[in-house]
This record gives sequence, structure tokens and C-alpha cells, in this order.
Amino acid sequence: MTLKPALSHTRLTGWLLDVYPDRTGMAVWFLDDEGRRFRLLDPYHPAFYLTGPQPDLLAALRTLRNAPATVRLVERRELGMHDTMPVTEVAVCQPIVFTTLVRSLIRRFEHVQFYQADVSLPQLYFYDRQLFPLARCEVEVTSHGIIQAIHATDSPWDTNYGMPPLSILELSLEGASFNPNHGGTFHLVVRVDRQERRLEHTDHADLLTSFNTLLQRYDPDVLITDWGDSYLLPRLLMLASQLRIPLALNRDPMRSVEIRPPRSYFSYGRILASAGARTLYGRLHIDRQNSFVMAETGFAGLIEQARVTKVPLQHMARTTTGTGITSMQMEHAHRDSILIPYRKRQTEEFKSALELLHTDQGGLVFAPLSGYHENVGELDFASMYPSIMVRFNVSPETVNCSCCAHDPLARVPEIKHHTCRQREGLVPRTLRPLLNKRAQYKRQLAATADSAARWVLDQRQTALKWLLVVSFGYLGYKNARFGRIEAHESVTAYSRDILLQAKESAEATGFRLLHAIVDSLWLHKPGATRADYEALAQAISARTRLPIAVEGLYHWIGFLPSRVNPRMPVHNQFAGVFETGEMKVRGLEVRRSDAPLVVKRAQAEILRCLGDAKTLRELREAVPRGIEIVRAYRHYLREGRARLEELVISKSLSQDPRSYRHETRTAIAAKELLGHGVKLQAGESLYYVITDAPARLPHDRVRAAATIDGTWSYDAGAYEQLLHNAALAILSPLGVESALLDRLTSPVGRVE
Amino acid sequence: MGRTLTTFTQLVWQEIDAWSRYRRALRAEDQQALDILFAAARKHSAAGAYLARETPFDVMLLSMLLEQQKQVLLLQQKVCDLETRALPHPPHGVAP
Repeated sequence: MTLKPALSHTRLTGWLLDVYPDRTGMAVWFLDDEGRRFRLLDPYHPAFYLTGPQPDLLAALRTLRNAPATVRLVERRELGMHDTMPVTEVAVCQPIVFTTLVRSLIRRFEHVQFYQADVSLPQLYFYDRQLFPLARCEVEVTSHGIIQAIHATDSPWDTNYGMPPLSILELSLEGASFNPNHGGTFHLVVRVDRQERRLEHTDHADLLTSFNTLLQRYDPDVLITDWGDSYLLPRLLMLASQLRIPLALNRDPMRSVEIRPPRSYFSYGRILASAGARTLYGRLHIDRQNSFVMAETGFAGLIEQARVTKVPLQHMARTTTGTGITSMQMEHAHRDSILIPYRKRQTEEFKSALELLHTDQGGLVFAPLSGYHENVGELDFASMYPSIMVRFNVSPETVNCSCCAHDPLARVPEIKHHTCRQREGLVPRTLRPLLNKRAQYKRQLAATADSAARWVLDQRQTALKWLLVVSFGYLGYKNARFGRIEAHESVTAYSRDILLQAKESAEATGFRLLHAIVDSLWLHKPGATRADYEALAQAISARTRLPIAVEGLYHWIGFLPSRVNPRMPVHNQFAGVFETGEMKVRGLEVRRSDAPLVVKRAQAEILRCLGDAKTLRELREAVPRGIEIVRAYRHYLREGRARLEELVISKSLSQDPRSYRHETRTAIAAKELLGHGVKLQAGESLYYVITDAPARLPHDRVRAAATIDGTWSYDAGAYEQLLHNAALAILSPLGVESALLDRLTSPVGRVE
Repeated sequence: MGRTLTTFTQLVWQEIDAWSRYRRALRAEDQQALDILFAAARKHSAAGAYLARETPFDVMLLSMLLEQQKQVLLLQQKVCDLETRALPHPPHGVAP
């Protein structure tokens, strides 16, 4: 779809949809103000840099003689260096061969150092042209669709930006509540133009043809799917190739669908699975079931992250948030002529417990004073770690700089590091606009009453929150391009000192510290009003020069004891009711993905019932009603009325399913699925039902949810136990002991 | 004539100083309890100096225990007195 020859040399205004490397430049998909979609071409020559011992360098350059590239000597800086150094710049005239060319050089010349060699080309293009995904643009093009000039007319830092009129086609499976790859039969459902239609697939050729017709008629910019990456698109494409019916999934007819295989990886000590990807050219495919950003922040949040990080939408939807923050750092580096080091892919080594204790002391946590408290206020530091990095200039190149070693004001508390007071670092420069933009969104949110507008603002600020959250992790991460452990240690040292300063200010004015975690404090003072808490927050902000705000005042809050040892307090397990009536719950079944729905529902009902109480006295009076809820649910379970969706337990596979040595429930369910020919990988979620927990034969104990049809029954006793535990967690600090709860709710003991 | 040995009181101060980060990260009510413990250690400086042990913190810990034991005895006595007084009908022949 190039421009008609009649449109000789013209200027277009509109939005940037998609960018990817092509033969003689970057293919740029453009949506103009008249609703037309164009595939344009920007003759852009991405560059990488190299340096190293003269003979190796010359040998490397010799191999480039026949390559489509131009070579010149330029001056660039390494991060943290004051002086520039000469490096060889290689600009590649055919972007499509960039990656292959660079990789072959890296393989052959191990003594040569490469820079900017593995930055994704659309990102590099965005940095160089000062563009970003879905930017509002003006572009000058020739009659052949060659871009002469392109520039953005809005900024990624605008908070009131317009959205392109994207046409969206949604594709999902009817009846798939769990991973469809684990089994079951489904119908294909298409939602477009506010209409929903079910594609009957009695005949595969018909199915493909009617799907193709829809794609051609609506020509969507965005294809949003459920399970598109792992199930839908792979199956549709396989059918299409078997039946030789070309599927018009791609808008660019010269390209085929991009395939990335699934993989498992470690992150923060947990194993996670990524479902692989099926991405498109000229059209954006987003799989809701394979996108952390979509799940956490929705489409508005995804767009927000793509705009500020300059990571293309399809990639941003599937990658970790860390990729976004790294991209922002790379852009800053690129703009300042700082060389971006080539990232060696090394896995993070495991550290011993002692090593972790010393290097990764982390934030400060005060064990909560267990039990229920009334009249409590919570104060939270806003984005504490990023604010510390900006306020104290913590960045890999500013920690332990040579210029400020003897400046007492540069010292980090507790530990022997210092940070630079002369030059602002790369990390603070990257984070400052993010913090400002999030603060702006929060102000707008406070001033907006319209619920639709609030929804969008909240998704956008949450998207920025995630970027800020991971920015800290990337300071001490070995694989991070701009990471350094001393920077990481400095941030946590500052955070501990600041939390203690906050505690001291609170205690000095008569507040009692009930609980504190890293950047949040729960305080109590008899008779204190909101104004008292606000005044305290202001005093702490003034003292620490970091923003802290009153998160809310609670009618009551319960810090719940450990399930293993009731005398031991645990953090991150609490339930409380704000004055607004809103509840805040952490660590309980209602928030856990591995608790069955029936248990979650019962616990939520108990909490709602307790939530009506405004004082501890009213709370105690509500206990009998809470117990009655448990009794009703036990009856429901015992009578066999619970449905499959209410009973399903979801657990993530912690290892390759074939390497489980013990017959855990997860292992049994995994083996059952493997027996059905399902492919499973570590990190993936499994869904099962407890059928007979004490059974002698393992496969009688649980069943994978996807394999259940026809007759089946569940183990009521096992689910009653889960219900009991969930209720006890809330009720035991109110004086309801396990035996008492069991007696009062027993379905058999009460026959009259 | 200068003093070459640090006095036991000075040792207690040094110890208090060494625990200052621990103290800082305690809740206010727990800080008070800790201060009382170190005060107890100071109460027996003379005994500590006379013993002149290599590891003075042992001596401080024992002095803290000693003061606690005295408190326990005192409280036991008080509880006993209160219980006797609270009895509805004191048995005959026993002094109140």
C-alpha cells in the first residue's frame, strides 16, 4: 500500500504505527488524518561502534569491505569517563542485515569491543529521529513513499496526548477459562466494531476463509487475542499451511509472521515462563494472556510505557519492565554520545545466604505488633527508591567517584560509599522525568471526577509506577547494561536511614510504630485525627526531603500471625478497613492465585462482614456472623454443590515436570497432562482439582482441570480444610481458636 | 599520672556506642527497655572493674540478669502480698 503516484512529494500528518528494519531503510507504517494507512520507507542507516587492538580492528574492518556499510572514525565517551576516545563507527545501509552482520563479527573477533551492537533497531531509530511508538508526526514523503523528513509534534512527556483512531479486532476462545493448551474444545470468537461473532469450525477451510474476510474487511491496526501467542495463532497458521489458504494476518504482504519460541527463566529466585511470541508487521498483535503490562495496567498502560520507553508496542507487551527502563537509559546515553556496551549474556550466579546478607541487606522491616488495632494511619513514601536515586544522585558512574571522595556531604549513611556532587548521573537523569510525570498524573487523578478519565489516568500512572519499581532492581543486576552493585547498596542504605528518620519523627510526636516495611509505616496514636497524620507527613518530608503522604486512616487493621507459628508475627499479611470503607488486604487467600475460588469467595464475605465494623468492639461483635459464613460454605462444600471453576487450584511449575521426584499435587497433575500429550515448561501455571487427598494411588489424589469431563467428584474434606485455614487466619486473633471454629461450623455436629 | 586502663564505666559507654545502630532500629518502647538494661550494667561497675575480665560484655550481661532477678523477686513478693490480701476469708491463725 504505497502512495499513489499522483501524490508527488507531499506532507502528511498523523500517527506512527509500526517500525521495523527493511532492505534499504526502516519500514514505517503511518496512519494519516484521513484514516489512510501507508507503508513508508525511511532511508536510515543504523550504526554500531568498535574498538580494540589495532591488528584485530583492521582485520574486522577488512571483512566489512564488501558489506553494505560505511566506516568512519568518531569520538565517543564511555560511561563515567571524562575524556572521549576514538572509535570506529560502522553505519549499515541495509538495516535488515544489521543483526546478522554484527553477530558474525562478534563471533569472529573476540578481542574487539563492540558498542550499540545489540540495541533493537526500531528503538535505535526512535532515539535517532526523536520519535516514539504512536507518536503524532509530520512527515514529508516523495511520491514513492520515501521519507524526506519526519518529526514528532507531541512529546512522550505530555500527559494529555491524543490517541490515534486505532481499529481493533479481538480474537478469543469461548469456554477457555484455563490454558487451552492443556486440553478442551473451544469456539473462536471475533469482536470487532462492537459486534461479536462466533466462527463455527465444522469445516477448517471455511473457518480460515471467514476469518480472512473479516481481516480484509476491517483491516485492523491491532489484533488483541487471548492465548494468541501459544495457541491461537500457531494453530491458525498451521491450518493455513496445511490447507494452502494464505492467512492475511500480516499487513505487510512481503513478511511472514515472526515466531519466537517459548522459554523459562529465573527472576528474583522464581522460575517464570514466557509463552513465546507471534508478532506481525504493519499490524500489532497483543496477547492478553502473555503480557504482564496488559494484565497490570491495561492497553492505556501499555501505550504509556511504549511511549516513554520507546520500546515498540508488540515488544513492550511481551518483555519485562526492565527492558523498558534499560531502553530509557540507553536513549540518554546515546543522546550524550556515551557508548552503549554490548551486553554479554551471562546468567546470574547464585549467592550464598551469607553473601546475600552482606551485599543485599535491602530495606528495613519492623515486624508488626500482631493482632487488630483501631485508629491507625498509614504513611507511604512515594516511589522511595527512585526518589532516593534522584535526590542523592545514585547511578553506576556517580557512586564512589574520584572527585567527591572527601566531601562529607557526599557520604552514604552506614556504609563506606559516597555519591558524586558534581555531575548528575545517567540513572537520575532517566528517572527524574518519570517521577515528575507520575506525580502529574496523580495530581490530575485527584482533580478528575469522570470515571472513564480516571480509569485511563490510573492505568497510565500504574504503568509508570512499574517502570520506577524495576529501575532499582536494574542497578544491581549483573545483566543490566548500566548496573553496579555499589549503587544498589547505596540506595538501600539511604532507604534504611530514611525509614528510621521517619520512625524517629513519629515517635517524637507520640505516635507508636505498629509496623513498617521499607517505605511504609503504620502508626497509632490515641485520638489522632487526619490533620495530625498530615502534619507528621509534612514534618517527615521536610526532614528527609523525600515525598511521603498519608495513604489513609484505618477504622481498624489486623496484622495476622504466621500460619505455622501463631506466636510469630509475619509482615505482608494484613487486612484493614479505611475510613472510606475501602479494604486493604495483603497475603491472604483472597489475593493469592493458588487459592480456589470458593475459598476466596468465603474469605471475601467474612472480610466484608467484618468491614462493617468501625471499632474493635464492633469488630468483636461481628465475629459470630463471620463464623456463620464459614458454616454455610462448609455445608455447600459437603453437599457436593461446588462447581469446577470454584475448586480449581492454580500452581506454577517450579521445574521441568519430568524432574519432580516427589508426588506433590502439582507433579501429579503435570504427569497427567504429559500423559495426554500436553507440552509443559517450567514456570507455566497448572490447574487442578483435589479429588481424594489421602488416596493411596497418586493419580487418584488430584486431577488436571482440563481433563475433567463426565463424572467426577471432589474431596470435600480437603476443601473444608482450606476454607478453615483461610477463616482462621482472620478470626484467630479475635479469639476464635481452631478447635472452636471447627466445632461451631461442623456440618455434622448440628443436626437437630 | 595518666590512667592507662579504661574504667568499667567507660567500657559500658563503648558497648552502648557499639549497639547504637541496633538501638536506633528499635521501637521507642524497646529502646527504653534497652536503656534500662545498660543502666543495670553500669550499676555494678565496681564489681566489673574488680573482676577485670577479658570480655567485659559477659560481665555486663550478668549484671543485667542480676538486676532482672532482683526485679523478679520483688514482683513475686508483691504478687504474693496482693493475693493474700485479696483472699475473701483469710484462714485463721495465719498473719495477713
